[in-house]
Amino acid sequence: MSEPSDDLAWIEARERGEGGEHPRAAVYARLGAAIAELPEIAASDDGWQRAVLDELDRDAAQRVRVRTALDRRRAVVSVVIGALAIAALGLLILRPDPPPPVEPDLAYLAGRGAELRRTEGTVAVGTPLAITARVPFSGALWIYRGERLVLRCPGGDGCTVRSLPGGLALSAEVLTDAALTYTALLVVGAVPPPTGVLATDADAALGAIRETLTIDVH
Amino acid sequence: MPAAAASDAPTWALGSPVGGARGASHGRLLRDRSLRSSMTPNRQADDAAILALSARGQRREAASALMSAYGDAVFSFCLRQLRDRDVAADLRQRVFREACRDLARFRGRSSLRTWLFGIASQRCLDEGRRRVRVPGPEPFDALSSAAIDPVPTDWPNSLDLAAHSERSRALEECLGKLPDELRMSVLLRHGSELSYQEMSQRLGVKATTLQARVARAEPALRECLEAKGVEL
Repeated sequence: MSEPSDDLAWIEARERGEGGEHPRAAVYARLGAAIAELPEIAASDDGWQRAVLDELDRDAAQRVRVRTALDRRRAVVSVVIGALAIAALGLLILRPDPPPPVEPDLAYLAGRGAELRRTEGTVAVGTPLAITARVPFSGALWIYRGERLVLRCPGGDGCTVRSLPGGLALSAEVLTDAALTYTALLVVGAVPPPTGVLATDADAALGAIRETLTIDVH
Repeated sequence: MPAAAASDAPTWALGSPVGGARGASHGRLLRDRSLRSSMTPNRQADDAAILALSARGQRREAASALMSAYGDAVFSFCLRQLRDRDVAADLRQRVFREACRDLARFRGRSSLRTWLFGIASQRCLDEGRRRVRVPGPEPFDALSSAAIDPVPTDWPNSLDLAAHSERSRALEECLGKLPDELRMSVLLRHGSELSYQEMSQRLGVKATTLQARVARAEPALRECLEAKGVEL
């Protein structure tokens, strides 16, 4: 008869599918069969099946409630998203075409207040100049006193900017304090920033200059 | 014959012959499907009827049929494992609640019994862990019957074992003396049709560990039964 330790090793090998001959092989086979054939133990019927079914019904009802709430939430979200999509589409369809860029325009008036008047390119020293321009959004106004830049608009002191459909309305006031030529350049598009010297700036922005205004001050 | 069996204790032979399917299955345990062939035609028919009800959306009817077919088997397994009638009844309810809820998703990769035993083994394991503070058997010396715990207070007398033969009664008693992990391993091995791979997945224990547990449990059971005069 084999030793107990042999039994353990043999059973372990058998469970790995490697069991060979063993004196107690049949005994352990009968033991396994006896365990497998143990009779079922009947429990008292304490309504456990009804309890399980009731729990299932409660679970199902809960799932329906959750699903209904989720469905409702999804419906609301869908309606909101749909409405937003329609609104966005409407905006795209109904949005008015962007206004065409304004045509560049440059002018000036001499004087102050009620004395503002048009002149023919000459003013007396001390006369204020009100220079106005309409430019596309990429436009700018540069004003020179002789060869020197005295004002850039937008961006400089004494420059006011107002939005227009398709561009900007610029206005600047310059006091003529010397007998020099005052020059206003209206440039449109991508140009290098002015250096402050008329000749240099005019050369650099040559292709972008749309209007020029020259006022002789004497 | 072991010395213990030569006492005056009555001798009952484990007379049931080793069935061809079960006896032959020892050599091919690692093949998952091999043990499933031992599924009886009646049980196959039960499973088919239950699954047909479920497939037709008759959820309550399918659940009732499932519980009627396997309620006692699951209860017996839990009771043998945990040795507490109330806890076993509670676990049976939990196992079937879980199973009935998931029945529509059952894909038939095993028998329903195997599937239910898989769930039950997990729930019993959870319960065992929950009760970890309750003193359990001492560390087990596999081959010494002296190391087997005394019979738990009222086990198996608390069971209604009127239908049990003396042989089954002795086996219940010996199973009750095994440490929990050995008892679960040997019950699943011989009573559930779960493969070691499936047992391993359910219990979170390596298959080789489970095999070792079975190898420790069986000699202890044999000695215990022989000591009671039950001839194997």
